[in-house]
Amino acid sequence: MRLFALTVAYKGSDGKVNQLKAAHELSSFGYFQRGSIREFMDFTSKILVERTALCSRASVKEQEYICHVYVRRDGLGAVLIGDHEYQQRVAHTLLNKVLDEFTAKYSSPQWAILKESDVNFPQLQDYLQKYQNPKEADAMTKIQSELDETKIILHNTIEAVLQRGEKLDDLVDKSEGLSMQSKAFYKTAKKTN
Amino acid sequence: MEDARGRRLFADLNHAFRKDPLIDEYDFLPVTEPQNNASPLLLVEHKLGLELWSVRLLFRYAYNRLMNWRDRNQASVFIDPQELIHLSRAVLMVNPDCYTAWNIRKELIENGDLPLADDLKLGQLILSKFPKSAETFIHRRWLFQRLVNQCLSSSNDSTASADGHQENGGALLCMDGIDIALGPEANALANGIRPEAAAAAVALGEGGRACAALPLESSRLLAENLHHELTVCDRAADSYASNYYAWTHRAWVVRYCFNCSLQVLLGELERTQTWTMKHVSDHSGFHYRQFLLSNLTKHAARLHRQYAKSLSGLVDAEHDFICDLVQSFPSHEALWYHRKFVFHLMMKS
Amino acid sequence: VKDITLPDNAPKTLLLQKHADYIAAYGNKKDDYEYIMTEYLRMNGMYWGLTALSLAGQLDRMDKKEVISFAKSCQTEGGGVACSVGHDPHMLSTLSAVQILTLYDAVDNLNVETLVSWVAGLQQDDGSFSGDKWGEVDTRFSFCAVACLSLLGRLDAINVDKAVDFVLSCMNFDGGFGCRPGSESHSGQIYCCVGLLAITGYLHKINTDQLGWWLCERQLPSGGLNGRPEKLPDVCYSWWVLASMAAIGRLHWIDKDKLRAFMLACQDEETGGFADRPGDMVDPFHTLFGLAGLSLLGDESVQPVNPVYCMPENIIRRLNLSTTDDAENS
Ligand SMILES: CC(C)=CCC/C(C)=C/CC/C(C)=C/CC/C(C)=C/COP(=O)(O)OP(=O)(O)O
Repeated sequence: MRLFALTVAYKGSDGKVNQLKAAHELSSFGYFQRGSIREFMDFTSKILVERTALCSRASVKEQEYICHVYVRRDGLGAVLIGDHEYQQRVAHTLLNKVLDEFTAKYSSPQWAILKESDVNFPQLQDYLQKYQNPKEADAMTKIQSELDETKIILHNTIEAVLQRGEKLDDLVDKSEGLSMQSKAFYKTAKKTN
Repeated sequence: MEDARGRRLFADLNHAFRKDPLIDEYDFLPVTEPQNNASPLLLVEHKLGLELWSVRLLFRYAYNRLMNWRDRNQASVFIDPQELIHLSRAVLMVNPDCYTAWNIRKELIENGDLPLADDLKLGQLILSKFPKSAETFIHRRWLFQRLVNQCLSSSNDSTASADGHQENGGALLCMDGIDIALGPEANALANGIRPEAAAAAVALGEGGRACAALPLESSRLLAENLHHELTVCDRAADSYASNYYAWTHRAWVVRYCFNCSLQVLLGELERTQTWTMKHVSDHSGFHYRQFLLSNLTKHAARLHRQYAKSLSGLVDAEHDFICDLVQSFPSHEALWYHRKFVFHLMMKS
Repeated sequence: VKDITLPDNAPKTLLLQKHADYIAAYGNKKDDYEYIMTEYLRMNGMYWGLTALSLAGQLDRMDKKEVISFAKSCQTEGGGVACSVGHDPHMLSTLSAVQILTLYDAVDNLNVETLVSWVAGLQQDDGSFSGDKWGEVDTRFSFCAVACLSLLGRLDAINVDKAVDFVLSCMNFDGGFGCRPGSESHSGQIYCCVGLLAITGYLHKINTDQLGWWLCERQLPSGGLNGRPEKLPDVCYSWWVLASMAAIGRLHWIDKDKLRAFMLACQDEETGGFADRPGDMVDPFHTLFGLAGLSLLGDESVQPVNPVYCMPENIIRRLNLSTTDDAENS
């Protein structure tokens, strides 16, 4: 079980998403791939917060990854990207915890305007490390009562989250967050699967 | 034209390895067309990147040249051993399952043109890119067999002077891994392994005694490499889930080179516990524990005598371990299979 | 569960003619990088392609003379056959060469005597076989040796009992087999071990129910089969698993309709050929095992296949080779 990325982002009433903080653990990837993987994890997290309705949770499979997303009623959202071994219940409990702590530190009026580089929220990286450990994760399941009753929607691919007629390839093409190198990486990875 | 570019790329590759002998990882970069005049090779922090378009040219050149030489082995083309080493390296970095290229390197080693340690390093490098390359692991087993045999024959040659080296032996081999209680013969028979191999492993492990008979160099090489090999397996297992080749190789090392010494089996049992906990869907990892446990059950008496461990204690611990995991991860088939195995062990004992 | 979902628009009928066209054209791309990259398994590739064509009833589309002379040119002085000219002889390519020439009823184009003694020379004291002179041991090589000698009618050249004993020593508590004693069970290795026991008349040594159960547990909700627990389904396991089940008489433990749907979804409608999974690149390897698997499932447009040798049943019958346990123990 592995966790790769944990992100906090705000979805404004206009639907625009502001990434507030992201933590990554990419040491299991090849040296030359890490940059692109990181960009793709950010890109994916942003799409998911964008496409997830307020007050809802989802777990989205994409190849060997599963992206867990929760967007609260107030527009604050978080995404955890892990592998398929990582327990869904633990993931969503962690998302709650992260959002609670973030709210305690930064109040809602700031969420739309804060720049990621100004956000000081080291817990995010700490949690990403700590909950890689199955024992810690297990301890978390014991407090499952914290997880509210919101149903977790399951999707088999990212495509399933997109609007009708939208294609992931096009989004990748258009994205400004992805470098040329990452787009090339995406294309070659797709060709050779 | 294409050939000339291939030759240049080949020279660039060799240059990169000369410049940085510590390259420990490489990858193909997703660049499908040559960029204006920039070199397609990138070397940073001991990592080597090769642009995709250049990989094809490089392979074609190295492969054709190597195979042309091989084809008319007795005939005209002469290539000196150094170039053969480089050509086969280029071929294998792109296509490590090209077994003939590995065989060419085996011959170079037999002829004394290529140091065995260099090939262990190349294999490790290749596994960083292709963690489940079957032929790379096969080649490594050949290398280790040779290493073990070398130690054996040198130990036979120098038994006479064994006493003189006594004090070196213990210090040089801090092989925590080896079992020293049984004589080599008994140990070998118990495990159904060729006695010479067992002798090598046990001789090495006995450190202060038989090991002293081994010339410093080969015994140290073996000891270091054997322990390192487990790390190589760890890495390969981490990079590809249920890596059949990495885990069967690891079992081979434990069986053939460590002669299933109880100490190694116990050490491995401990070491893979955390690993399997973090890889609950990896059936190969759990099977490896089954391999360890099965071998431990053959030596209940010695376990008790030497390690004050009871077999039933080990099996019970495994039972608790797996039942806990099944409870936390009920949807993982690998865990249920392992649980079945543990019950099977309990019924047997 | 680790699995895939079949795309709605995936093919639902067998595109037999397309597959034959795909295979027939495969050899025309000799300058391709991919073609050079796969030279280390050219002989196996030829066997996959030719057998696929035979199963489609179109073996005549290949240039028989060219194939035979290629196989011939790959036999080395010591008797073993290499995957391609200039490469080293290996057990895997040697079996493929014998299979190819058997398809054409032309094995006497090889030097059978040296070939048989090369194979026999690779048997070890414990009954196992190594793949070549460098000594790697694997139950795959045991199967290759035995299948190859059996096709040549020369099983007498080796110690069959010891070969059987070694394979049996690789049996695991779950009823399956791995590559060496104590190695993890794997459907591909099981195919090899079951095949060896079938050829030598020792199938009764298998715990049929236990092995059959493990094998049918390879079927996933998508209908496809995997090779080991918690791995993705792959068309080639439709062969390794199914053929093993057929050999031990447990084929009916599989949901055939779902498996068939999975396999058909792995076809490429445009290029022809099968891929490992829907949407991936096709290749001759998966194309053979796709067709052979469908044949085992009873598809009548494909020629009947022999589950042990993975060759057309009529050829195995021509050689009078029995692969059930009521054969005389040799
Ligand atoms: C006559 C025929 C059809 C075959 C000849 C006999 C041989 C060589 C059979 C090969 C059987 C086979 C597929 C063995 C498996 C080898 C193995 C250990 C593969 C490991 O598989 P992974 O690489 O883990 O597979 P995935 O990663 O795709 O799951």
